[in-house]
Amino acid sequence: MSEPASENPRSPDRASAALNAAMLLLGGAVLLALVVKACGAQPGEAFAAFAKGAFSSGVAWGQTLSRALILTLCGLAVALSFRCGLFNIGADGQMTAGMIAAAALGTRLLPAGTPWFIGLPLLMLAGMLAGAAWSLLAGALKHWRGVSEVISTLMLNLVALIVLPYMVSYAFLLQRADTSERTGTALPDSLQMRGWDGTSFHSGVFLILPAALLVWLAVYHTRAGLSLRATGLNAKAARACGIPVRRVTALVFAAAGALSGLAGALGVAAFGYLTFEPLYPNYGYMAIAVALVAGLHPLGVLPAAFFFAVLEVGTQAMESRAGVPHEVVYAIQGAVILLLLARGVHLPGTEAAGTAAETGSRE
Amino acid sequence: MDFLDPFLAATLRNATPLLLAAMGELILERGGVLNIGIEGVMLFGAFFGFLTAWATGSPTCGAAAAMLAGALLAAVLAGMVLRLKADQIVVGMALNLVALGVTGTFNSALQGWLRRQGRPAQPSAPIFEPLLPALGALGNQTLITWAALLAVPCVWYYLNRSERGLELRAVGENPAAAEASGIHVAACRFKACLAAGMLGGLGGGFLTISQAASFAPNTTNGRGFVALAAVVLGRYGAWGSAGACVFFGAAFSARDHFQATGLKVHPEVLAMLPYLLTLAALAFTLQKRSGAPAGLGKP
Amino acid sequence: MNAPALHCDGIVKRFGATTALDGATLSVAAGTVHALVGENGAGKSTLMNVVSGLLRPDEGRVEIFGAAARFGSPLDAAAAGIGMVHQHFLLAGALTVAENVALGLRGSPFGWRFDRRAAEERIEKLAAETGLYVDPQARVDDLSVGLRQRVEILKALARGARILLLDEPTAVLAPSEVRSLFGTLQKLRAEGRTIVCITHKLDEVFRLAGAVTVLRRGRTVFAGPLSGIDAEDLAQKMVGEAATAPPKAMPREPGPVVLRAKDLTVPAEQGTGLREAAFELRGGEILGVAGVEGNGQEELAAALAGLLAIAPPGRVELCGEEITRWSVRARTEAGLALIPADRQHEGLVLELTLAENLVLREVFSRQRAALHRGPFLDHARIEAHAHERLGAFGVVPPDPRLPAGSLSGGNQQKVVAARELSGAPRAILACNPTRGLDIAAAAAVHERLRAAAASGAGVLLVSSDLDEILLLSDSIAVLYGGRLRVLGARAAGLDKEAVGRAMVGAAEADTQSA
Repeated sequence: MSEPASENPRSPDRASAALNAAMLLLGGAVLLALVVKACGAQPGEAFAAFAKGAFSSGVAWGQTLSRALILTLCGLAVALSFRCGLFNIGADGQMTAGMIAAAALGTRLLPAGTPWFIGLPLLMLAGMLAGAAWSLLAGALKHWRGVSEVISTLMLNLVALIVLPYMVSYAFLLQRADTSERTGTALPDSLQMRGWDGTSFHSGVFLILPAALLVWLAVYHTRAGLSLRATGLNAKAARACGIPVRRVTALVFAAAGALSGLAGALGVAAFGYLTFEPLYPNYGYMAIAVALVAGLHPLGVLPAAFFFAVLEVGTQAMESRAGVPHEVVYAIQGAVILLLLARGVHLPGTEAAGTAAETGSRE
Repeated sequence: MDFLDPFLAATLRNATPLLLAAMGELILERGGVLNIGIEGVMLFGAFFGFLTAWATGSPTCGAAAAMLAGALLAAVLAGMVLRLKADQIVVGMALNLVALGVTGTFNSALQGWLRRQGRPAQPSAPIFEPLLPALGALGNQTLITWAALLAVPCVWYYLNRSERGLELRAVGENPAAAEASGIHVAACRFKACLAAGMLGGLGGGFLTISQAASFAPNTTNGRGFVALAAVVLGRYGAWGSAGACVFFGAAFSARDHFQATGLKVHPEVLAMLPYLLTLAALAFTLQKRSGAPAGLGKP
Repeated sequence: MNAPALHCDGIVKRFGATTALDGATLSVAAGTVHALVGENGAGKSTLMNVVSGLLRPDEGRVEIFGAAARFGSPLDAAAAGIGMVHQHFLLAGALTVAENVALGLRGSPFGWRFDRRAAEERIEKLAAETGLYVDPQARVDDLSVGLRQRVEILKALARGARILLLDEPTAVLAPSEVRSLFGTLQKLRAEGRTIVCITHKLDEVFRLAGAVTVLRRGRTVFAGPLSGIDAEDLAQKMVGEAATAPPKAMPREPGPVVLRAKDLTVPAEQGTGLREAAFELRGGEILGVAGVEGNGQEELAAALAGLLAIAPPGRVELCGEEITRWSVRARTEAGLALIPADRQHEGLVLELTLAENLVLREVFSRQRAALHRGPFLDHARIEAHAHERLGAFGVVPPDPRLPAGSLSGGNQQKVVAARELSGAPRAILACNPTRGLDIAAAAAVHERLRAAAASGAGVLLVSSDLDEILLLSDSIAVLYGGRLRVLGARAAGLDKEAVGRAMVGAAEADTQSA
């Protein structure tokens, strides 16, 4: 396939993306060193722990890649939404919805002994559908009532965060015999994606590349993708050209939700059960950082997600081995976003979002 | 009555941080800036208020530090949004992450340091003493709660009865018109950011220097978002938002009460109430009548 | 001798390469109503913006009551007694009238107290003096356009304006509102205030003003009292010498009707809306719709293109088929093309490449499946298509991979034309297709439209450039106040003056007074 035509105008962006990445690595390392110093740990020791935690062994790689998978899928969802001028910040809630649906299907609805080649695809499908539905709630509010997706997706995230422990502890679907446990019923063995050789490197990791390629293909090589980009950049012109802006918007809500929901389903399959707390806390918000670092490019999401996954796993290792708090990872992510925004990183649709809402509600 | 009194007192306590944060958010939103980072502002206030109170031994210093810390984070928002014209929503999300990370890191670092000193790892700070305990459980509130209750009429007066408030509302409605009338839009918004940061910071500080005496990671636990919801639900008015805050405070008290008594009511339903009500309010009010400033979220 | 209230001398204002004002002069005697007239782009608004402090002149002097004035901002101008009423009102909609008027006028120390009662009483007092009555407690959003204008005037008066500048004050008003505005302005004049009124409508000049200044291409071509001249003189001064270009319209066999509109009504959201417009466009014909901007042009084009809902019983037919409720895409597929007025906001997506812009209409069309295979884009073919189109329309540079935003205005417009005129549309809506283009680029676009007509398409040319209309059209209609009046065929001896009169509502005023 030929290089898509629209790569060209973005080439200056590519140079700046490289610069962003460089700044990111440097800034992150400096920040981390400062924190390490402040915690009284030996920087050398701490960074060794960091690197060991992220790369040293199969276990480490498994940790890193299984997290990169979640971040990739959610990052793709965010990139897709922002590209279309939609500030869908609900990846967290959509992922949780996907987890609940997949867990419910796996533990209650599928007959025992369902073979994996039937069960796992169904699990993923359930996650995608639930995520899409959760996202489309916000989409519907925008479509019919003109409600800004920012507030509605945020509220839906918070609702999902409460539905989750409810489902784990009370709802009959996930109930365990002893409800004092903070985990739900485990999935049947055939539906779990166990890591290989005791690592958490599970077969779902192989989905990272196809998912990013698929979204890239959709955005740059399909009619819907061109419509999406045109809508995000200039909704008014898109509408004047006969592009059904409102249908494109609904499609993006659904697709973003499905991607996040898929992340949720894969997460449940990898863990094998649900817990009171989200399995991947705040990953939906980290995905915003991932998408921004990627310049909203689907293939850029790959390295960005990997970078943040390394950061996540490495800091966890630092916490346990060198006593450096893991929370620093959130500070780094937030700082990275602010840094990128301060450098004037172009968000398509910051203007168009308003016009899309206007033209949408006038139809 | 022995049920009602503690319930009302708990409601007031639960409503206090919401009230403070919501009043700040209200001022800011009427000025046309949407601060999703309110959760982070509260968390900042909670941690640095606690840290200062612990270090100085004075809850008053703690409250001042909480306001300062909140204002500092809000100033970052102002700088990013007003000067660099960055997107308000993404900046707000980033601030939440920054606050979560910075407070969590500092907290762990502090605990680690204390442990190395051989002191108890969970420090405890002095807290405000309740005022007017003579009035019974209901009057048994700290200074911050009374301040929060006082903030409501003050904000109402400021927005509706002062020339500065009028100017702020004009800035939120139609910045171009305000500019043409000789108002410095960016300065007006910057001041609103600082005020919102101080109020939000104090709201967070209440959690650690009045309600509890310690800091736990992510201690605000979504209260900033509840305050955000209260502003929407209160249709961007001081009394309405305050009413929503008190109502949510009551819902939280009810949740705690049911949990304590082991009644067969799912506390989750009550915890979800603020968000569900906000979604319903958004869905069922016409956008024109929602009271949202016309310029909200626009650069 | 009294110094004039406002005196501008030799004002020059350049925007980049274009000169908006080229030594314009304006002198307004105190206590008079002065009309400032001219075609679109003559520099009227630029001159007013200079006087009101929004723009700084590159050369020239402004004097207020004999004192030289240098305004750094609109606030300085307001302090000097100049009040500007913009065409697009600058009001905060959710605030009340009293709040809008009081905005920025601090009355208390530190602004700690807003005295609502005092503000309302001040408005009532001003209203009693000037007859500009508005309920001070009403929300501006709930007011009619006419009342909002009153609020703007009150705002200026509350700031002590002695000279009022009004930019096309009647463009958005209904006739009854116009009468009441004129009454108010006369009253303000009688009180000793000076009023400068920009307008296009010559009948209003005679109803309202005592003196007039005519601008053309940034220069003052006439200034003086209105006694002794009539509307025709004025119209001629405005548009310049009678068009020298002969009508180039070639006699063509008119084809069947391709586009027919009946009872086309669009309610006014802002401006005039569109009222019961009706026309028939035949294949091979160029129907020029002349008119001063803001008289319903946008609404006409948007309603025909499917971007604005048409109120019943309005009806649009394309080649005999009713398309009133069809989507934009369905209309495109049926052979309707749109060259929108604002190419940067409605015509192109500037960040996308030329190749992508050229297929924006096709991506959702089922007809031209050649450019995609199922849901996938065929980049090779899209690029080949773009090469061919860009070459055919002489776009420079003809590189399909460039973003549209990197092209000059003229080339951007050629890209829009290249997209819209491909695939042999049956009816073409072209709105101000050559605005902002240099002569060569404009000629190229004109040639394209002629060629499209010659090949059997009907062209509806909506333009505020009268010369363009006269140059291209086979028949001419005029939009004025939201009403479309078909004047007839160009061949039937329709000349520039007749169209010009209709454009400024002169003929309509005749029929009204008759």
